[in-house]
Amino acid sequence: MTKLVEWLGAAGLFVGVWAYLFISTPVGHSTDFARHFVLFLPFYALLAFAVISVSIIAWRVYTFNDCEEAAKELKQEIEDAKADLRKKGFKIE
Amino acid sequence: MEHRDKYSVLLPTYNEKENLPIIIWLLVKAFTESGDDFEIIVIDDGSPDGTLDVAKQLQTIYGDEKIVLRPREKKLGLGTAYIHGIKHATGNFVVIMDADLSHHPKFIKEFIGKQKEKDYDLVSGTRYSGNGGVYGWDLKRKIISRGANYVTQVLLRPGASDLTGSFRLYKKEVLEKLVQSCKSKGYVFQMEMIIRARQLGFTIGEVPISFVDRVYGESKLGGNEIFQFAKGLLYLFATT
Repeated sequence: MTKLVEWLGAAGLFVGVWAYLFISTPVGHSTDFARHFVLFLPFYALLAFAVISVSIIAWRVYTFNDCEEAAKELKQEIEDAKADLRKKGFKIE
Repeated sequence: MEHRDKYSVLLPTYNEKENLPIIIWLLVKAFTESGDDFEIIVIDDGSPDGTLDVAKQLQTIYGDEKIVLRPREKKLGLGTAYIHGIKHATGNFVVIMDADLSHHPKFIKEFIGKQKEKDYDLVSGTRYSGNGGVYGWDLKRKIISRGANYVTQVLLRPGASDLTGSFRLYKKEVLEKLVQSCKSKGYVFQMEMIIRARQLGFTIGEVPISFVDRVYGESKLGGNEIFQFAKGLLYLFATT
C-alpha cells in the first residue's frame, strides 16, 4: 500500500464518519453550536494541524544547531592539510 | 581466518580541484587514526578545472591502492557515479559523501561504531537530530530546510530524521541493491534510497553530523530546486 493510498483510505474513513455524524445522528439536526461544530470539523482539524505544524517547524528552526566550532576546526585543518601536503611534494596553487 | 572489514569511500567530484587534496588528506588522517582498512575511489566527471590531475598527484603521494581513480567523460549524475564506483570497490562497506568539505571524515569512525552496534545495513548522517547541525545557513535556508523535512516526515513517515543528507555508510551489497532500484535525481535520489531501504527491510542507524556549508553564498537554493523537490516528494508519496 502506498502512502497515497493510505491517506486516501484515512480521508475516506474520516469523511464517512463525519457524514454519518451529520446525517444519521441527532447532532446534525440539533443545536446551533453542535451542528456548526460537526459541520466545520474538517476545517477545524486542518486549522489545528496547520497551527501545530507551524509551531513545530518554528521550534526546530529556532533550535537548529549552528556548528561554529566545526567551521573553525575545518579552517584550521585546511591550513594543516596544505602545509603537510606541500611537505609531501604536492604542488598547491 | 578473520575477515577484515574494509571501507571504500566513494567521492564523486566535479570541479573540486581545491577541495580534493584537503578532503583526501582528512580521510587518510581519519582512517589512519582509527586503524580501519580503506580506499578512496575518486569518480571525476570530466572536470574542466583539472580535478583529475590533482587526483593523480595525490595518487602518487598516497599510493594507488589507497587512491583509486575511476573518472568519467562528463557529468552523468550521482546514481550512475555510485554504480560506477561500486564496480571497482574492494571494500565490504561503502561510504558516500560530498567532496566539498561539507562532510567531515572524522564522523566516519562514528558511522563505523554505530554500524557495529546492531549490524545496521546502513548508517545515515543526520543534521536534524541529536547534536547534528549546520554552519553557514541563514534563517531563510533553515526555514526551507526544516519545512521541507517536516512535510517529508508527515507524508512519508520514513523512520529517518534526515532524508536528503548524503553522508552515509552502506554495506556494499545493500548499496548495490538500492542504487539499482532508485530512479530519481539530486536531493530526491538520496530520499528515495532511504525509503526503498525501509521498504526492502534494511535496518537504518543514525549518527548526528555537522554540515559546514561554504558554498551557500554562491549556490542558492532556487525556485527550480524547490519545485523539483516537491515533484520528487509527490512521486515518492504516490509510489511507495
